[in-house]
Amino acid sequence: MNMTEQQIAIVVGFAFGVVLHRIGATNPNLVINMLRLRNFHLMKVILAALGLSTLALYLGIEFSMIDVTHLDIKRATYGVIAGGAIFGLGWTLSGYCPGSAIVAFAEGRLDALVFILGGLIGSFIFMLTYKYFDDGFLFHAIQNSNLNIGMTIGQVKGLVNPYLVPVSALYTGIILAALKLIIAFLLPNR
Amino acid sequence: MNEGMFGWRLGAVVLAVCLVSAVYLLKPLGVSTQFVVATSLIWKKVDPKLIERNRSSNEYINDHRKILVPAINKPLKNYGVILVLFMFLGGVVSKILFGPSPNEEAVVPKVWLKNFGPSKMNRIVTVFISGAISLFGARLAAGCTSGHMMSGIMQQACSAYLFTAAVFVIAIPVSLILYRK
Repeated sequence: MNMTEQQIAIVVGFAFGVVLHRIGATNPNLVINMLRLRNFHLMKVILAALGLSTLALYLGIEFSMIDVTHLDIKRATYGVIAGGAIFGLGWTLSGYCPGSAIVAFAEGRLDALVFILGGLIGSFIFMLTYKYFDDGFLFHAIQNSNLNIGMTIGQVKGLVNPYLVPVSALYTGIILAALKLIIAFLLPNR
Repeated sequence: MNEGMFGWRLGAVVLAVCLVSAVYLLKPLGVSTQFVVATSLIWKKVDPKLIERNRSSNEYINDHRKILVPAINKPLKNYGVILVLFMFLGGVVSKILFGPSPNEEAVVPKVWLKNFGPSKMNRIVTVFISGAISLFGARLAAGCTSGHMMSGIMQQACSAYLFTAAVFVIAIPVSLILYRK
């Protein structure tokens, strides 16, 4: 199957849009009620999806069905932690995140459009202020941490991880995926 | 509120298929970069000199020019831009085919109404600030819910676990304080 980048974007984007809507990720009530620990539907869906996708991904790599170079492991920096905390505050104020807001607007939620406009301003402020912190510690990698929990990209296939636990990415993946699936099953269904 | 929604097991399977297909076909999903692209497109309309010969007067674009410059110069041929446009279309089609429609919730969701009343202005101002804060944070972290929390955790990236921990450490207590009813 030879698809162009553009065709892939069409298929994946469309499917992701439909799925985000069908699982209820575009509904701010479900997001906020998840964050205040009242409704675990979204948490169950996402945890189980992450467990399943990790299994599929690493088994696919193990059996050479998925190209390892397609992985994109982001660097762990102090900016990831600071940015995550800031993001967490923004997320709970509205119940929208960047992807869900786009689909929520498509669904007819007008406040999601406001989130998107705010997001453009937030991006603009970030782009303008970036020069003041791009040399600072925020974008420095936390030691060896542009790795995944198992290993570096070059070590993905069955090699040992020199930094964390001495098991292969596949086995780390299986263990963590199983944990997520178990938690997803145990969380209350409401 | 849950009318027409997938049950959690089916939802998990289709979401997993989406996330894995993206990597199988090309690369992991991510959305928040496209906000920078959209901002830059508007910026470039106002200041056509923003990008000249693959260089930008803005440090952020310049430092990430391999990804950003092609997207800003030819947005409709760009992977990320098309992805986001079709996410929107997916949402439209999903709603038309299966519902539900937010109706009276179109601006003020129920949980907000219960806690802060029916004022649309309060909701709109807060959501605008929320969007600005979220995207500032997402750019600082180089990813958001889709790029870190979904694609990153799927790949077992350390960065994604750090991001997710930081998000929930703030989001859960703040939600418990803000939304009491």
